Amino acid sequence: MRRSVSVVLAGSGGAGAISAGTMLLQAAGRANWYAYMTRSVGAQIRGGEAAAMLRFDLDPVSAHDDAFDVLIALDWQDLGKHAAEMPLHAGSVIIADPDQGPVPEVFLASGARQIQVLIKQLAKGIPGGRSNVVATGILGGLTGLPLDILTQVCEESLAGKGEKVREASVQALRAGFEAAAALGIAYRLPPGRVPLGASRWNITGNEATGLGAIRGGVRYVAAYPITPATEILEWMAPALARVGGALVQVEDELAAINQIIGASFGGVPSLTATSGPGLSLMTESLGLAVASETPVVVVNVMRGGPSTGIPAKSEQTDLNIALHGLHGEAPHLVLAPNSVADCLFTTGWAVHLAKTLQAPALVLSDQLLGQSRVVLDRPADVQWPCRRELASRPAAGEPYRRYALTPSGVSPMAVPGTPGCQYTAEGLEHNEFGTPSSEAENHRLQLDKRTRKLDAHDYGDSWASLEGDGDWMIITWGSCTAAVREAVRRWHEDGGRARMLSIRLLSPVQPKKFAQALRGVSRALVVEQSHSAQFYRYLRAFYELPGHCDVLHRPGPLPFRPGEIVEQLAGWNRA
Amino acid sequence: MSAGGNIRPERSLEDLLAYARIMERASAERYAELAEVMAMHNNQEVSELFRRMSEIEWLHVQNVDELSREFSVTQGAVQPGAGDRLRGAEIPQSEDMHYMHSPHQVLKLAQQSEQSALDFYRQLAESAANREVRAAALRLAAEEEAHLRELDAWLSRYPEAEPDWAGDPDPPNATD
Amino acid sequence: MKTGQQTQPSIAHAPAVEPEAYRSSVKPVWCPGCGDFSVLTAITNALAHLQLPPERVAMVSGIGCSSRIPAYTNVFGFHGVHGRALPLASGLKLSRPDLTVLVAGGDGDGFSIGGNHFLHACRRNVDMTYIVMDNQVYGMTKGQASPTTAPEWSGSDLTPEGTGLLAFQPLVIALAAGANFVARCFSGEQANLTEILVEAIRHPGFSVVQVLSPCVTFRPEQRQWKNLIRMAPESAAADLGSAVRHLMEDDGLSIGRVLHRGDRKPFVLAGCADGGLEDLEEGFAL
Repeated sequence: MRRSVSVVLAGSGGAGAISAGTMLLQAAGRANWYAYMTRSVGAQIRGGEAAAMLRFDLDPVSAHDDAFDVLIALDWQDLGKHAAEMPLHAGSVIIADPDQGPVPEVFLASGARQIQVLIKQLAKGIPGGRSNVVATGILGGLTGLPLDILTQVCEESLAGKGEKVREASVQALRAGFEAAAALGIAYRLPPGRVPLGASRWNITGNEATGLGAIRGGVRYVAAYPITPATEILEWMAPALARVGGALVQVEDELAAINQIIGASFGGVPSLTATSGPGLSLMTESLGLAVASETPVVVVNVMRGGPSTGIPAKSEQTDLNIALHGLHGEAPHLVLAPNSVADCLFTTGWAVHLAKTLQAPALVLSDQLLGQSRVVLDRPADVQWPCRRELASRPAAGEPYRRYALTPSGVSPMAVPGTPGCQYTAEGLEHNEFGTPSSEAENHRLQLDKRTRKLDAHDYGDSWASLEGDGDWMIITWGSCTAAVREAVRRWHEDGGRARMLSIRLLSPVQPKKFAQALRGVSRALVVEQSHSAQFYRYLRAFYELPGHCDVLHRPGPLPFRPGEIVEQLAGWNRA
Repeated sequence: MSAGGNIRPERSLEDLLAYARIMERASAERYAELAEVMAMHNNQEVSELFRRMSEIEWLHVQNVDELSREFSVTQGAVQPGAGDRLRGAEIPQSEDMHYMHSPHQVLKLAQQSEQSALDFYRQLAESAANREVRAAALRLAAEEEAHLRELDAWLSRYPEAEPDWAGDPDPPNATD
Repeated sequence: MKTGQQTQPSIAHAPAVEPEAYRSSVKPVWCPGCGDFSVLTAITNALAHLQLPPERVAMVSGIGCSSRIPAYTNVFGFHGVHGRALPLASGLKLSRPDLTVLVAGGDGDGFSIGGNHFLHACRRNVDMTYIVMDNQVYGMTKGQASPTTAPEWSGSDLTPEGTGLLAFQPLVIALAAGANFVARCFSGEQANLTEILVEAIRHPGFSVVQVLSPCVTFRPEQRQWKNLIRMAPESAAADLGSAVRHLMEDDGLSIGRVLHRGDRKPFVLAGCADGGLEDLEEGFAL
């Protein structure tokens, strides 16, 4: 029985491939399937080539399969450039409109079959009919998406557009469906089942990040747009207003990080979101948050680097700057969600930890997580017990010590407005009262304190996702996790045994927990999306790896496919 | 320079005494601050001088209080405006200070302040329409004169500054 | 986040807060002769005149000699990084509109590295008061030219022939970018400075007070300012155009008058707070 089907819908010049893909995803969700969508676009703001890549599955899915089953193209302009992102296999089918010219050689090399459908003519045959909607109908028919569900979703998405447009689209869908039926091929998924009482969401990683922040208590955001983080900020702007918070657009990233430090100093949990170039700008002031012990959360949606890099593609190469980018000794929190759903949990956790430990927290998401749209099970509610230590008026005669040396390293923080607790937060090294000090002893004590407060905290089991069993382990982080998970699942289905460790808390390091997780592991594979194996070097620097350890790494933008990882394990078997 | 503020010393006895009290008090506080600043910059001799001058100014504050009792004036009758506390002729200017000033130089500067206060009260005594204001102004002028003579005496104890008094062989530091 | 008014304490019942109550016990390290002492005194006197509870006032600064000022006060303070006091203060005021927020720093901090934030702070018009202690030099790092230094000043080893750059006129920029209250003062005229600070703090929106504050260590010639300073003519404050013209044509030493009192509404945040998390999550349901 087929459990999964993967399709690509591509077109250019405003053909609407992405909107069509979005409709398909929503319809798949309504049909009780799980679904996953990414997209690939050209450099133009509008009118460039665009491809929606979708996967429908009976089980939760958050990675693409090794190859796509169907590629349907409204035209072929410049699509060849993206061929590496839409691999096909010998059993795949390419649905091409003969009026759009020949299929580029690069797609045919896979051995996939070509089928011709006069998509444009079909569309033209309907007043106001559009090719992308016809193609949507074709894909719906081929995959087994019920027409009535697809129609309903299509009508909802065109709600404001008038009766004629809706009618044209309904007809175009039907035309596509009928064309699919006539092809005599099928990649049908059986109907899905949603357990009673369960609910599912259609959400992107960036949206989940925003929601996680608000769930964690963030009520002030300073925003500067940057690809691919802007969507977090755009989602949060109205969302914050509804819960009594606010978002302010500022003049640059330097203003953003400093505004949120100011808001946090004022007692309001705050956050900003950026990408690599913005994080580089923010590093000085992140150090200020460390030194002044002001909690803030900065989400970095990683993209191809270095410098301006590849803004619309993913890569896992800001690990180094996140860990080591602050001058001086500046211990801070670094976390990384490892799935779209986990963006919700990890961002909320980061807010909670930042508040509790009075330190900045960097959340390393990436473009792949951030801009993937997924149909998933509604994530569980998580309660974050409030662990903020706030100061109230000190005992009579006692001056308030903002940076008091405590066993936990956390000093009760006075919120402005609290009488008797006035202090000046300081970037200069200082004594317990916050008075600037260049003395050796003060420096050592405050460094110890700022390190201790992070190291002594009990982070519990959330520090990593640990799954599976056996002596082989795949160690990974962030967006690679989905492909690794699927590889491990396939390995198990084929009778093999393997564990996966996906690290969520990258700083401070957890040597005891890591050692515990690696017990009995004889062989490890590190999987990461970077040219210089940043994550592997991080593991080598701070952890004990088993003697036999391989690294599967390459830079973005191509994500790992589960099959590649399975191939690595199979290679060990043969060795 | 600026003639603003709520207190018009020429207007009434209440105003004049309010003015005098505020000014003496501000001078006392200013000298105390200068004493600390000079101590911070390790000019102990001058710091000590400023401390003593501050004490004298506090005595002047008490004198004004006695004057008020003598003239049966209620204090606090005139509410000072925002800048009134810093308006007086006698209040020494921080900007004239130098960390390497000798006692002689500092006393000369203090004399300038006291002299301008003296001039102010004398002028008031001559020109004020109100009889009580004139009387009080004369008394206050006399106070200032006495203070000036005292400063003369102190001055005689200290040598004049050397021509290279400001020479510090050490270069400045950058500390932030 | 409520868009609250500043609460005035009840003067009838509470004991008056004296200027000293706004001073901390930390002794300033400024050089004797530094104009910043007077500015500190004027600020504490202004706060005392307004009778603001010290715990409800926050002073935010950047880096430089004058940026040391928060530690010398008894209000809440933040000594941030170079050039970023304005955004830090903006974030604080926008999320805590109940506080009175003062921003302090020098000409280098505010107009060089901080120049961009200065522009946008004027545009944004958040209700706070920016006090710039202008000594036309980078004092803390031992005497380099700053954006307000005259182009021919050759006292720095970094620019021994002078910078050759036109001196920045911050108040003209402030007016052009929308600052709601603009004035220039001199540290040596403390009574006037105090009065203007009181008005600046009271005036809604972004108030900019440029205070000529001599650096006796690196610009000893500025000791002469007290002989060169004069009151700005009344005509300079007649309207926006007159103010701009005056600022662009005079020698930078006219002080003592408020040159602009605007009526722009201060920027505040208005959350409608009509929903909760459930409403947000509804948006994701299929």
